[in-house]
Amino acid sequence: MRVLPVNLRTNLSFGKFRDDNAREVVREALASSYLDKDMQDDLFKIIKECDFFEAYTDKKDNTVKGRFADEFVKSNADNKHIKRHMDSLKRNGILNNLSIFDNVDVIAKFIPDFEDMVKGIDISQRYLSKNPHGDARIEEKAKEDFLNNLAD
Amino acid sequence: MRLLPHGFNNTSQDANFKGKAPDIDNIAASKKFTNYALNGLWDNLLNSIKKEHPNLIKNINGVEYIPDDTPLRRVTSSLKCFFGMPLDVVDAIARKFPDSKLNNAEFLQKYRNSVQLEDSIRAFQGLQKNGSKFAKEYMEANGLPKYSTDAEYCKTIYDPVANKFLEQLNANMADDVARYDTKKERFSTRILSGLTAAIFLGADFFNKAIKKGKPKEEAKKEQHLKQKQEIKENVCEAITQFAVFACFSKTINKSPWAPAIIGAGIGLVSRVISRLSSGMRITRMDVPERHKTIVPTMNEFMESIKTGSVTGLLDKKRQEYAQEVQKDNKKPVLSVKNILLFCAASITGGYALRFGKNHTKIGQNIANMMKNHTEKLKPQIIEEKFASYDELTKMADMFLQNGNKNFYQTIQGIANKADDTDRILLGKDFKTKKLFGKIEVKVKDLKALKTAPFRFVKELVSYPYKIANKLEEAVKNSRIVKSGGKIPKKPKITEDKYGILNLYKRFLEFEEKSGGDEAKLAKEFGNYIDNMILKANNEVTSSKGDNSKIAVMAQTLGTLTGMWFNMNDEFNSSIRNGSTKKEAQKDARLRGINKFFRMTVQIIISGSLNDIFKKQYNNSIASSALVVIASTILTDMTSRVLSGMPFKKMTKEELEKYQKDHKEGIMAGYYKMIDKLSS
Repeated sequence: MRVLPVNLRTNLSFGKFRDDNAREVVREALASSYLDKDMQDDLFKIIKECDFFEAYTDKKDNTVKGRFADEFVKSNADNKHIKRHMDSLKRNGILNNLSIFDNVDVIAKFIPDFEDMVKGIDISQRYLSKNPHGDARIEEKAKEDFLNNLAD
Repeated sequence: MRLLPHGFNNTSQDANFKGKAPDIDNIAASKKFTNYALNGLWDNLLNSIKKEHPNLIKNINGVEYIPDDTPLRRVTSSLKCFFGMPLDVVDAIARKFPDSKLNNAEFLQKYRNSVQLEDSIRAFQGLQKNGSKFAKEYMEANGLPKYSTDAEYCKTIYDPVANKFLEQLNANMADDVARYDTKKERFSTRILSGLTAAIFLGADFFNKAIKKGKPKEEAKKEQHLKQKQEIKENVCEAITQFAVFACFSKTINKSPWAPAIIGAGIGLVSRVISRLSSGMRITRMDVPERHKTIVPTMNEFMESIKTGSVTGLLDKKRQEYAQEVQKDNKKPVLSVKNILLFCAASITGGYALRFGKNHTKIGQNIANMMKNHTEKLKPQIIEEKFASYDELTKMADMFLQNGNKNFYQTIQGIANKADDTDRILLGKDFKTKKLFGKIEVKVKDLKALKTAPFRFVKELVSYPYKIANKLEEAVKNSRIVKSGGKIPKKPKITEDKYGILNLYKRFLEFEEKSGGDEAKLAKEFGNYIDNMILKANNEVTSSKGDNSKIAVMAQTLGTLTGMWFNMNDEFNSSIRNGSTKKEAQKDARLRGINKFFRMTVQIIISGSLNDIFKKQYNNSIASSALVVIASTILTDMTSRVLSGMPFKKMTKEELEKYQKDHKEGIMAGYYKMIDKLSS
């Protein structure tokens, strides 16, 4: 999905895997998981088509890492929601090693969240409970069962 | 995402499997959704179970599953659970001393591993159902067709299913959800309340014998006879209930009637067996009527000759005889007719008040006044619950460190809602305070104590109306269910906006306990989450019976039967101690009054203590035991004071003083009324 406008994209290859090694490592990370092939392909596709996130091999230690496009970070500097999400990923070291399936999984989950936040969508709305007041009958029954079970 | 194609189940199973094997489409769906939502939990559990118990796992065309328990497995599992209870106590004590020899003893480690394996098997069996169940609920609610092999379509279901698992986890972390096996809690409650009550009943029988002038040894025999019978009754009932509900809970819980009828049946059998095996009668002894003779004694006659008043003596004897016969013919206050009249008055009064409340102006005004009063009180008992952005993200990070990525994403997403003060409103919850600086209780439950005496009187007079009302509700509900509808929920006044309030509360408790040690917090909270996910999916250890009020008849019948047995015991004991039939009948009626008071007092006292100490009660079986013992002691003492009976063993002199105080003290009028009621 295109988040950044075309004329801001100075690096045309950003959003794809920076190098073949990065692509392969992320593929292998997904393949090592409990997910079936179709789901693996889906997650791979999400990362591949994202134009503000890139997986690359760090030449210093040969680890595949992730990063956000500078333009994306700059243009969303005032968006505290996006900043918080990015801080969370950095704080938990998610971007530091994409050979770990869990890290790839989290990034693939967060990319749609970033896309929604750029559009101004409040992502917390999707987590609102459909039954916030619960059902008092469950508690009532538990109390009734307790009282009925006592010796008379 | 590729699920199995439609009908894979039918084409792949041969004739031997049909009717016994599960729907493999559902199992395959459960596997995919569970692995996604709970980060490979399905595979992990299956692998750990395979190592210890490979024979449990079945396979249909590459789809592995654990079938429902066979009857033999249910029995062996229940026996293990029952005989493991003493080890649970040892385990709970040992854990308080982590470096002790006991905590590291081999036998205890073996026991813990076997419990862990059993929990894993139960959780896996639950996940087999829940994974597909949550998916189907979402699909039905959104008009989606049955499982498809289309990848894009399946992806839309994954996240809602993951959120359902989070909702389930949150629900299981509520204060009113027990952290232990419900069967064990029912067993321990029954035994402890029964044994505590037996002590008081034994004292009653001791006092009755002493009052009748029997020597201490004979009085003790009466005491031990009754206590042994009560202990046998409660042990028999507790063990039978445990066995029946452990082995047949699924079958029983399918019917709204079955649990209560079976419970009442077990109660009846236990009462009969305990009495017969203790050499006690079930029914009342046959006692001939003893009328005062119209014939004067020889001494009286000789005296009347000396004084020349023989006619006067005969007249007096005739009058006394007539009075005696009149007294004998006088019906007791608690006759069947009067009891039925009381029930009719209670039911009529209850419905009249209800009609008035809904259909008359005065009634509606009063109802509105009460509603306004309740609304005014709400801020005293309910408060908004906020979470700070930092705390919520810290909790999210803990979930991530524990491998729960979906939950991390959800909580981080919710945390993003934080306002300019970096706070998020999670919902509304009851205000709490700490008793003695340690015990957290709800303010509303403490306030409710003030109205306990009024609630007691209300329970007493409205008992028949309550039964009628519950029956009416049961009939209404079964009509709704029969017509395919759903019984309407009863919303609570609390609110959990995002379905994570309980999670957050538990996280704060762990954070407080860890004392700033982040590594300790991550480890302990992580373990807690893992255990709670298993528990949330373990359907066998949690009681999920139908909340149908139609069982109220069976319950009431059980209570009344119990009263009948106890009244007969009282009658027979009085006769053994030398009472006349009339005196014995009066004692039996007094026992009936005491039992009725006890039943009502128990609702107030045990109900209040259970509410106040709910969190502690649900925390461990040891805490629940303390609450049960305390509430039974208070119930038995209070009900005896209310029915004019002593609540402890006394000497003859103490008993005489006790009676005198009742006749002459401040409560003389009240005790006179109780005496009239039982006459």
